[in-house]
Amino acid sequence: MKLIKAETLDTGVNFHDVTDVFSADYKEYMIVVSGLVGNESTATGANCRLLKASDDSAETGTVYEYGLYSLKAETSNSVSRDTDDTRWFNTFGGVDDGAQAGGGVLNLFCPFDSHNTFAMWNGTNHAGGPNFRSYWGKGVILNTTSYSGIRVDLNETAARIGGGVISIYGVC
Amino acid sequence: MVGPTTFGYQVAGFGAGGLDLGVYQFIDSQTVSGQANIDFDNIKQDVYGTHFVHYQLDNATDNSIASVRLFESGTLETASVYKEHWYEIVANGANENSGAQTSTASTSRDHIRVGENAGNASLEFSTGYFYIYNAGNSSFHTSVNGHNVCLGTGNEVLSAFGGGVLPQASTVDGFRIFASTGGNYTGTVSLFGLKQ
Repeated sequence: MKLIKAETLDTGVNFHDVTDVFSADYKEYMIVVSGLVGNESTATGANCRLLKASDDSAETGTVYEYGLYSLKAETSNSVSRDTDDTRWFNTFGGVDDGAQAGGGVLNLFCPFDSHNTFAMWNGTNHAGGPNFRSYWGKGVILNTTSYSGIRVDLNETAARIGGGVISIYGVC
Repeated sequence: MVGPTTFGYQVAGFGAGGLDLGVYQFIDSQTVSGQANIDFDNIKQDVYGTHFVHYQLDNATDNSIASVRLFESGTLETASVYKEHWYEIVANGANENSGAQTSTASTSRDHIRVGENAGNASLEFSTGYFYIYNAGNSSFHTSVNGHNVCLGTGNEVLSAFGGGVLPQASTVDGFRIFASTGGNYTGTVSLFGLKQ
């Protein structure tokens, strides 16, 4: 297992791209985000999209399948799922401003190969109310597109990143 | 395929000798026998933004519940200030109906649950891991998120996951694993920091 790249997230932007981290060297990757906060009071989810190896552009097609448990401290849990969404939700929890930092761990399987890409993640955040969330998700992209990078993508387009660190590891 | 072919923390045996294989950097491990509180008071929170804790525990009391409390600058937070949600999937019953499974949630708990149903039968134990986020940042809340497998009350496999938060900005410099329900623990707990 090897640290491939670690970056401080850009601030004042809606998303942060990390390019050229997936390759033929590894089949599985682990992506860890910690200390993720927002730049303003817009509480929102911290999602992810993959970046195409062909041109580093984000995969924005309706290719993201997922199932997600959202465990909530103040109420009963909920489950969401979709077979054709445009991102994986809450992979890194979510953001709010102030002290309510989010984070999460995403494991990706075969993003670079001409192969389906599987994902599983757990994330937390303490936002809004503030309300605690523990997220547990699984996902897949059923295509053979080669992906070489990842985008940390805030759910609300008006939301801005206020800080955080992302680390990408090659597992095996 | 080139590169490492094993998980660092698997090879490390979760504290068996304190190996450091690059990413999961070993901090401390404790093997206990009949102990109520398992305290980690040197977690190097100024070095690591994310911690990984693995445990394998059995308990003097059947169906005990492993929980965590956090130390803030050396003082254990024992008040009912933690928020948590914990979800269990069991191998018998209506597994296809997620609504039939058990979950527990609270905004005023005096602990965060991290493990279920450590038992006292021969060969029985509860094992799992949890991450700790943002412990060392005095401006942030510290959260915990984990995954557990054990035997349920009917001797069936039980998978559980969930987490919680200490919703106050502070420097967390340690944690305690204890049985919020149950007795003393026997087993091993190992702590790693994630290199970033």
